[in-house]
Amino acid sequence: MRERWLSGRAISLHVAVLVVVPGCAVAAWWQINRAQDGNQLSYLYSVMWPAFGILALTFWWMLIHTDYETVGLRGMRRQAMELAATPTPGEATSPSPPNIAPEAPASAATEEDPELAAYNARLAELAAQGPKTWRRRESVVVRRAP
Amino acid sequence: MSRLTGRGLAGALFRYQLMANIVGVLIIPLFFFFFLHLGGVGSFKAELEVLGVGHGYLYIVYLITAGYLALKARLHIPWILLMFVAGLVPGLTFVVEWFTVTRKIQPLIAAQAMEAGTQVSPAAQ
Repeated sequence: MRERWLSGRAISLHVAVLVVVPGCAVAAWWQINRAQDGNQLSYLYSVMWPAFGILALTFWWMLIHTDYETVGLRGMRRQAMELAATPTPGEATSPSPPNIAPEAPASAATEEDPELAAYNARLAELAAQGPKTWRRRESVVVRRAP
Repeated sequence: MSRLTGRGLAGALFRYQLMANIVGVLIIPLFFFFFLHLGGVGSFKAELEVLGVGHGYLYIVYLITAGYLALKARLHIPWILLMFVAGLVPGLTFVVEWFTVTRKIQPLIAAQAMEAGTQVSPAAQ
């Protein structure tokens, strides 16, 4: 929680959104006043500036909730290094797909159960879905111990 | 068509590239007419209105696509800001799009392909 909202990256995001959103509000108000004075173009701009402000808020929220420690190019390299360092599966520090995937086919190799094959295919599909985002936060609970 | 609606990195990249090129092309005549207007060659009111409003709204779409790509590829905040600003400077859009693809996205795609090759295949066998 503290890491998410008070890291240096998060604070720079807070500062950016605190500058941009009031700026957009002021610009929107300015354009609304100009539109009321009879400037036709300002009607369009008085819609555009609030849209920019809402975009800034949206990206602020999404960037705050994006877990940069475990995903992306650097995260993938770090995970690969951690996996190489500690090869024991079931470790709480790494996400589940790399750990689950090698476990399943050990039993699948002995008997060709179609249900098990479907399960393995589902696991592979989950592993191929890639990094987790703020949309699927149930999978992002994996965080490294502070 | 699937690249326009795809939710993965490839879709995000395609939409970003599409909008970067549209916005980058639109902003060149906008600045051209703007400098003609400043230079006193003519008023160019209609051109400036059409191009200005068109660029303004397409720039919002560009921001959305760039931000979505940044979330997918986990770009850093200075790079995100560079992508955002590039939509406002003539010519810079193409340069930033090129460097985004070659420096940021292609290494990521290569790394993801390696990850998928080593980790997904045992379960898929």
